Amino acid sequence: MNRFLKLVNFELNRFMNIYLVLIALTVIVQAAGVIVTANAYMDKANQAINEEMLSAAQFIEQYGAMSFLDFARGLWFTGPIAVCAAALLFYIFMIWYRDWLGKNTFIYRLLMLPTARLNVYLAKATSIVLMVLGLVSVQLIILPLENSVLKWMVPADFRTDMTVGQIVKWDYLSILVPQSFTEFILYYGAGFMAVSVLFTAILFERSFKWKGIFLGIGYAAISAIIMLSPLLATAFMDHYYLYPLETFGLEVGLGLILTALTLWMGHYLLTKKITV
Amino acid sequence: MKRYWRLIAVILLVVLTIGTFYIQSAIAANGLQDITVEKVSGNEDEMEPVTISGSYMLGNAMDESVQVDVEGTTYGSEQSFFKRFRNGFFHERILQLQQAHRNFMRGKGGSISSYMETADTLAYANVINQTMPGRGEIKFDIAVLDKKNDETTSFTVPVPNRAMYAQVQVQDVQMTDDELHVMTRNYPRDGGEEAHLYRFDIPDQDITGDDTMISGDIQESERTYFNMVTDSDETASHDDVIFKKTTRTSGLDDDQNSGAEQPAQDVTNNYIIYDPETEETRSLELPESLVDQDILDRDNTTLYFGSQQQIVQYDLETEQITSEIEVPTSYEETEKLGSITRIKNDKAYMLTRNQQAPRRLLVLDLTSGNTLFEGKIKLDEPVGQDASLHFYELSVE
Repeated sequence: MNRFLKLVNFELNRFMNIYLVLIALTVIVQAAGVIVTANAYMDKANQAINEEMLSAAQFIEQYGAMSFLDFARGLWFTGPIAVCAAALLFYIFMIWYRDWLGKNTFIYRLLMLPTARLNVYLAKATSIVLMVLGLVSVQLIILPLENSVLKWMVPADFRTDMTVGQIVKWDYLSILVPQSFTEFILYYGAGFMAVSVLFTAILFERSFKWKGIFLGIGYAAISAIIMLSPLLATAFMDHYYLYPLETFGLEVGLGLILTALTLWMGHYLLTKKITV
Repeated sequence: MKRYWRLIAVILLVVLTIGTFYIQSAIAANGLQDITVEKVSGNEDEMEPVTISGSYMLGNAMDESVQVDVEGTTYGSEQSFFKRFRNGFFHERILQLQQAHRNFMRGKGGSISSYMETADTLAYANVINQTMPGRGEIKFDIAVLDKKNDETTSFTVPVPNRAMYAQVQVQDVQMTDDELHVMTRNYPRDGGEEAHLYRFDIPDQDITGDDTMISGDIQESERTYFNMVTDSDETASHDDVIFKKTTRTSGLDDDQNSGAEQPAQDVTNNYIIYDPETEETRSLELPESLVDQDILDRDNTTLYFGSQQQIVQYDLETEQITSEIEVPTSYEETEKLGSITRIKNDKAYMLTRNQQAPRRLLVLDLTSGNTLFEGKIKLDEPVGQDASLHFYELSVE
């Protein structure tokens, strides 16, 4: 356990600088975005009221009241989230490949550590999940702050107030921050499974080089087909006999089996087949 | 310890933030309105079987489903994940059937009009293989449950002349003795619409008949539409099939100048009744005053016509108006959205839908004409500028 934690801490350390940059980027761009979006709306309102002689009520009727979603839909808000998501997606690959790059291949030392090699694998997966959750947490912390800034900049007559609970139900935010804790566990559990499938695919490539690329892609494709099989069954069979909750149970079962299989395969490749 | 500070910091951040968020959203008020039906007059017990369903929109992004009944208000997001997952895919009535007949209902989809339930039979008919192209031939999927001995007969039969039709929709299912009737609306590939009645022999597990009951037609100067007059309880059993047929005659194709000046149109309505036993179609001779009124509901013996002012019952057997009941004036006329009326157990349940005025719920006794209950939909606070509350369904147990 101690070795494992050490490895997780070590993996976090290696990405910490970029990670802090991502957090700073999110906070700064979104904070600037709230101010710019609210100002733009108020400018438009002032212009309409002063030049076109509309009353405040008429303006709201024509253009709608400002809500947090007007900001959340814009690039100021979604941009940093997309950048963070892309960076972590890229790092899912780089967390392995950086160990092979450079003059003195670091993976050699990692694999020589007096600990189970699966720990190296699990530590990398854990740190990816932790970093994703960390970014979601940062977003959850700054959301109410941004909401307050909006309230502070736009007079009450011109806005529709939303609570943080209502905001996170919107569109893709409801995937990042699911409605209930049950769904939170399910979504991020599925996320962990996807990360481990990608890791194992990467290890296929590292073990068998060119041939491994196809093995890796094949492994990921088979995993996807297994997880989608209930859905495929509804499309290709005359009758689909399972009730929704039974399908749900089946999916959870398939997910657990696939994750276990993927971890075992990763362990096998790391101990028996990996080449440095 | 000091060496792990980054790990500890990230874990603390995640656990504290996400933990606080979910604990808070579990205990804090969700900012959603409490909607109640406030009594104006009458007996509150009449509210007991009523459920009003609707949606509460905030801005144009959030859409919460909401149900109001005598117990209070329930929002979609207040339900547990498992409950939402179990119920989200099916019509309320189908869920009831699933609970009562779990084995029979397994693997059955379709809309509620695919089912018919009586005291001793539950019948199901659907047309499968038509949502995915290239899935092979479209066919009837038939299943009948004999409730007494718990025996199920099920089979599939290809739809007759299936190549002719782009789509076949089941509109109603009925059963007499051992014969199952499936009423469909067929869309031929070369345009138009047809209403069919397919007969199935259940013991023989085969299709025995295909009658065209009525067909619609679109010509340059004349368009004929038809609609089946349905019972609000779509699983109920009926002896005959009733259609409302509308013919529009106009000089010009009105699609091209919609919004602009409409050419004078003649709209004629008439009602057609089809008797499956004799395979005969005949026109229903309605009194002049009823022909252009809206049909509120039907049951096996009666058609219910209505306007905002009155409800008229028309007996199908004797072809006579049997009663006319005045709607109290407090139930005011509302705009386009109109109102929802459900008729059950000789009572009429009516709900106005105008968002501006306070909405009203009314329960009328159809035999005496008395108002049994009158209620006003009451919100904690008025709906805000960007929010709206919309009711789309009134169901009576």
